[in-house]
Amino acid sequence: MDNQSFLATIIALIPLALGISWNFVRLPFSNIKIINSAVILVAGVLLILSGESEPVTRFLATVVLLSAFSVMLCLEETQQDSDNISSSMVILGLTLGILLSQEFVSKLFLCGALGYAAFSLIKEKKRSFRTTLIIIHFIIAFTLSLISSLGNESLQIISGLFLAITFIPLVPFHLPFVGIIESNKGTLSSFWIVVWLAIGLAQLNSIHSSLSGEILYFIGWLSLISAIYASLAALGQLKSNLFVAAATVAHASLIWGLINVFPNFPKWGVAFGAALAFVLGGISLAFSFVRQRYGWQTLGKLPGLASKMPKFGTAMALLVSFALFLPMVPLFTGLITMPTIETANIEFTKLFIIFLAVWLGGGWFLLKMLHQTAFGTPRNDVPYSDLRLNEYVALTAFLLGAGYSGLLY
Amino acid sequence: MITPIFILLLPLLAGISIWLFGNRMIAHVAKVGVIATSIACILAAWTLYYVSQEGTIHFILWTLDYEGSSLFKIGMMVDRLTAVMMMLITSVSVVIHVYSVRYLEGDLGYARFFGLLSFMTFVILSLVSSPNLFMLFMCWQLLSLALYLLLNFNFTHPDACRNGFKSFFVHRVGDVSFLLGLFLAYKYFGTLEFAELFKAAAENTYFISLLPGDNFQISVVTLIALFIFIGAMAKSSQFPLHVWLPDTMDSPTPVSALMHAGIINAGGFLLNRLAPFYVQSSSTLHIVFLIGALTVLLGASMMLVQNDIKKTLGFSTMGQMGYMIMECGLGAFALAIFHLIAHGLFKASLFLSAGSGIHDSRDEPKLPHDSGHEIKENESSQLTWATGLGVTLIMPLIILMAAHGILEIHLAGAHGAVIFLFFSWVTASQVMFSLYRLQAVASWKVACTMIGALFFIGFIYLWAGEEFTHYLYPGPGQAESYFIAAAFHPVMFDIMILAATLFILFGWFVVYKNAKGQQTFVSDKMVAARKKIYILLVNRLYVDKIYQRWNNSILRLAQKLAHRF
Repeated sequence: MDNQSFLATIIALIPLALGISWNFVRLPFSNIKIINSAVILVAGVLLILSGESEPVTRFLATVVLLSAFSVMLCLEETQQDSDNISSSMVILGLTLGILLSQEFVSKLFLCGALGYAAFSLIKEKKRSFRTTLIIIHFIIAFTLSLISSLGNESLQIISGLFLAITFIPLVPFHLPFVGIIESNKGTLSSFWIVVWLAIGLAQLNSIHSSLSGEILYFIGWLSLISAIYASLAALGQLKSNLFVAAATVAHASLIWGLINVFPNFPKWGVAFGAALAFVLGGISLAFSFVRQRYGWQTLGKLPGLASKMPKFGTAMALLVSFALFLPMVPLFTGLITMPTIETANIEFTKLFIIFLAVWLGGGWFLLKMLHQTAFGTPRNDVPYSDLRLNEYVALTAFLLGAGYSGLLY
Repeated sequence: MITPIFILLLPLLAGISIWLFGNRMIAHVAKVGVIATSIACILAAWTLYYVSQEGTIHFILWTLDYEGSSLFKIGMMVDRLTAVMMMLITSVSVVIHVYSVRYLEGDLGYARFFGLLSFMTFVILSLVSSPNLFMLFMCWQLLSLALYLLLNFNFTHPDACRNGFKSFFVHRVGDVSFLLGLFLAYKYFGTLEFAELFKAAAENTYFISLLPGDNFQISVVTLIALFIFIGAMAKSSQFPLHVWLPDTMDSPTPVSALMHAGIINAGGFLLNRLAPFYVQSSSTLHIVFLIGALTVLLGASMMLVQNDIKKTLGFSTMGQMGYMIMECGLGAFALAIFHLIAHGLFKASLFLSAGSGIHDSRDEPKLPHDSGHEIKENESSQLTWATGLGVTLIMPLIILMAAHGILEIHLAGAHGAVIFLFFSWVTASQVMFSLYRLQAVASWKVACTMIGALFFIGFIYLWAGEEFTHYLYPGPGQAESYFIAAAFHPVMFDIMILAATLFILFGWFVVYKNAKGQQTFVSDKMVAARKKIYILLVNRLYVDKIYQRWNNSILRLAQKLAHRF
């Protein structure tokens, strides 16, 4: 292990160790919060100093660190956030390990992340056929990630593809993602969205050039189904966290649908994926603030928030505006390297329907959500209180992250 | 020469400063907006003069270079078309800013409104000065969003929210289509810069298969032009994407004025900007003409059955936009801009005065005016009918032939002349019916004055249209080439003129017989059809209801799927 790998592993292990230790060590909540925030900042500095040469990895690690810092900023001294504060550090450590470590160590961290996700799911969810399916999915992913390091190249591609489809969720491989978002409460669900997509983008980045034409053809059809199904599901969702999960799957299907069209995935795909993570993570974070205040989680039950909570209204309107523009801005970076007619023969109708589903569907369900939360007549029986400064700063960080990823990266 | 950039920057800076400090300087919010747009208007006037004298201004402010390719270019291109549009937009914006000062006084969203108004002005100005299709599309998107935010100004009002959502969604349909057109343009021609794109499209002929196995092949230029046209249809409220416009009357009056005088013209502007591209696909131009003609017919018909002044104006705009698109479809791109300016100014003034009209009618309820003059039925004389037939059919044909001789407007192969005929027929018919209602045509003096005035207007219209065409497209043979590209097959053209002539003659025949109390062989059928058509038009051809039904079906399906997700 060279110095750079060693430093990367240390950057990952510190938050992981801290997260585990917070379950046993009793310290005042504010102190834990300060220590965690300081560790995240130090990890950021170390990331810069480590001289990580791979730009995609460095970028994704920064995305995860920024969202971890924002989430940390919003945690309050409640029973739920006391659990979340340790969980978020464990997840951060495992994710940094996956992103920054070398091959085998990275797989170990990945197994850890899958195990932790499965554990948190079992802890929260009741046993059902759906939960069993999710656990089976986790076991397959766990096994594949372990044996891929030992197997040949084709096994590595298959396992990489399976993991990528799990983390950049495509129907019908979306159940673990939806399960995690549904079972995690408060700000942690927002952090999971960013982490999940960041891991998926790293996985896809490592295998995208090895995917054969047949696989891409198959993925194209899957993304078409996923775009339509997830868009419709988001349109019909009533629970806020499931809405965000479905919206994420719908938008993520665009990444898969266009991987065959735009060859330069690290350029456009990573930018799009990161912007998507920030925007949907930001919406989830904003929902968690409302839920924390009023116990709200059903869309349509608490309209008119923009007039009583203007800061929330502004942040939500900006996040939704960005989500509406999402496919456009980073994609144009991909357009730059778009192949000529001789080298790529895309099925235009399929591409058209994917776009139609995501853009039109996205426009529909996002605006419907905006009308059900921010717009409309406010209720008189609710003691409204607007976002606090730390919450507003956290949402601004997500917006800036999305802006940078989508427009400048 | 980057002075025109201040035309864009001033409204943008005003919008940002109002957004940031508006609530702390509420008394100065309107001043900031008015001053910024007024200076922008003065600069636009100067730019119009400069461009007319010195030629196009073109500069790039920022380019994103990547591996030798530079797709992202943010800059400005101010040619005559842009300069004219800038002048129109800034002048209308100034009027609307000034009007809004009193109109929204005391409103809780006063600062927000002025911020959005300035932002909207900036977006439209950026759109018309885009140097490439990419930036134009970015602004196109922003325009949809800005319009949505303005329409939702009263966001606690359920109807305003619903209509804002509806308009955004319809625009979204157009945006998706526009984006696909953009993808294809870049994929096949490798550029989105206007001049390069037009050149590449003229030099290369590609075909694309829409179905697997090389089935259903279509020219790439046609496909791109059609996709982009759907974008224009949504913005300019063309059938069947017209449903958003008549329902956006819940927004404040200044928003309606801005929408009807500025935003809705985006479709006509887009077609003009891409005119050299569109003329390479005659079939697309024919489709454009067809959609425009259909929209004129439906918009004007639906307008007749409205009983709400603002809705009447909404449908009137729809019809006028149909004219504009129809003109583009006939190759008369410059005339569409001429029409757009005239309509924009006219409709903005109508909207701004509609409020006071409604207010007056509420203040002074009156019974129908009793003039003491009993209106006699069948008062019309033979002169009335002769005049009517003369001004609606014979006069336009005479003017056209005379203009062809005097002004040397080419008719052969350039069938854009049909616009003039169509316009003359409709205008003269409207004048005729108005005068008929006033019982004023049965006088030689009135008849002669009317015919004289219409001849004068007709010639002025032709002259102004011709001059404006050569102003906007000064290149030798440029405007004529557009007409030729849009020309129908001669037989088709003759059939159209003949059908319209017969239709007018038939109309006059029926009206004449009815006025004389005589039954015709189609009287009963026409009465029955009139009732059915009225019901159909009152229900807006059930298009809204069809969309609503689709919407409900999709929502039901979505709810079912959501449980299983």
